[in-house]
Amino acid sequence: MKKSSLTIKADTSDLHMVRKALTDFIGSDADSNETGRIILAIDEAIANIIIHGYKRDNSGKIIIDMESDGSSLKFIITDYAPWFNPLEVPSPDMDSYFDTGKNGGLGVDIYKKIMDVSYEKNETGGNRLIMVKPADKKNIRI
Amino acid sequence: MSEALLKISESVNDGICVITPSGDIDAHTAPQFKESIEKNIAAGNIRIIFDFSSLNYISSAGIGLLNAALNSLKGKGGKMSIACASPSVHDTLELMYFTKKVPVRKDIDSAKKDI
Repeated sequence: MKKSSLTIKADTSDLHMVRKALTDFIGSDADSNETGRIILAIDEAIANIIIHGYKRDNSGKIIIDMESDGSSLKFIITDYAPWFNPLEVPSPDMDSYFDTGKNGGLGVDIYKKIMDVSYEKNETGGNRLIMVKPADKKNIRI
Repeated sequence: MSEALLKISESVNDGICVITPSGDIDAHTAPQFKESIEKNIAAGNIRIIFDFSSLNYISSAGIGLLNAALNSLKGKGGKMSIACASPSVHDTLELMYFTKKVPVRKDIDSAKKDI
C-alpha cells in the first residue's frame, strides 16, 4: 500500500500544487488518460471546497490523503468548512446548460462521473469526501 | 514569486482573432482567461479561434467561460472554434460535452473554415 498526504490552504493559488502532487503520487498506477481524469476530478472537488465551502477564506485548510494498492486509487479530502454534502447537488441538464450559456456548476457532476464518491460529515465540524478510482470505471462519457 | 500559471497571447488577422492560452486554466487562472475573451468580444472580434496548442490543463472553470463565450458570440452573429488541443485537454472537453457544441480541429487552418 502506497500512501501520501498533502495539506493546502483554502486558496485557488494552491490548486496547481495539488495537481503536481497527484501526478507524482499516481505515477505508473494509472495510464495518462486516467491520471488526467483523476486530477480533474480532485481539482474540481477542491476548487468547490475553496470557493463554496470556505468562501475563499484562505485561513481554512484542506487535507488530501492519497492511497494506492496498485489496483485502485483512493483519495480522502478533508475540510473544516460548514457541513455540505455535494452529492445532494442534482446533475445539470447538459442541453439546457449549454443552450443558456451558463458558466459554472459542472464540477460536482464531472467528479461523480469519473470517481466513486462518498461523503462523511465530521460531527465535530467539517467534511470528508472519499473518492475512489476503481479499475473498472473507465471509458466514461457524459 | 512563482512563475505565472497562465499566459495568454492574442492576435487578429483578416478579421479572425486567435487566443492562445499557455499553461493551465483552473479556478485560479480562469479570471485571466475571462478577461481576454470579454475584451476581444467587446472590441468586436466575433470570429474567434482558441489555439490550445500550449494549454496543459483546463478545468470546468475554463469550460464554463468557453460556454459563456459561445453564447455571447452567437448573440452577436459570431462564431468560435478550437484548435490543437492536447489529448488530455481534448478528453476534458469531451467529458464536459463541449465537443458536441464546438468543433475541435487539429490545426488553425482547419479551425478557420469553421468560422
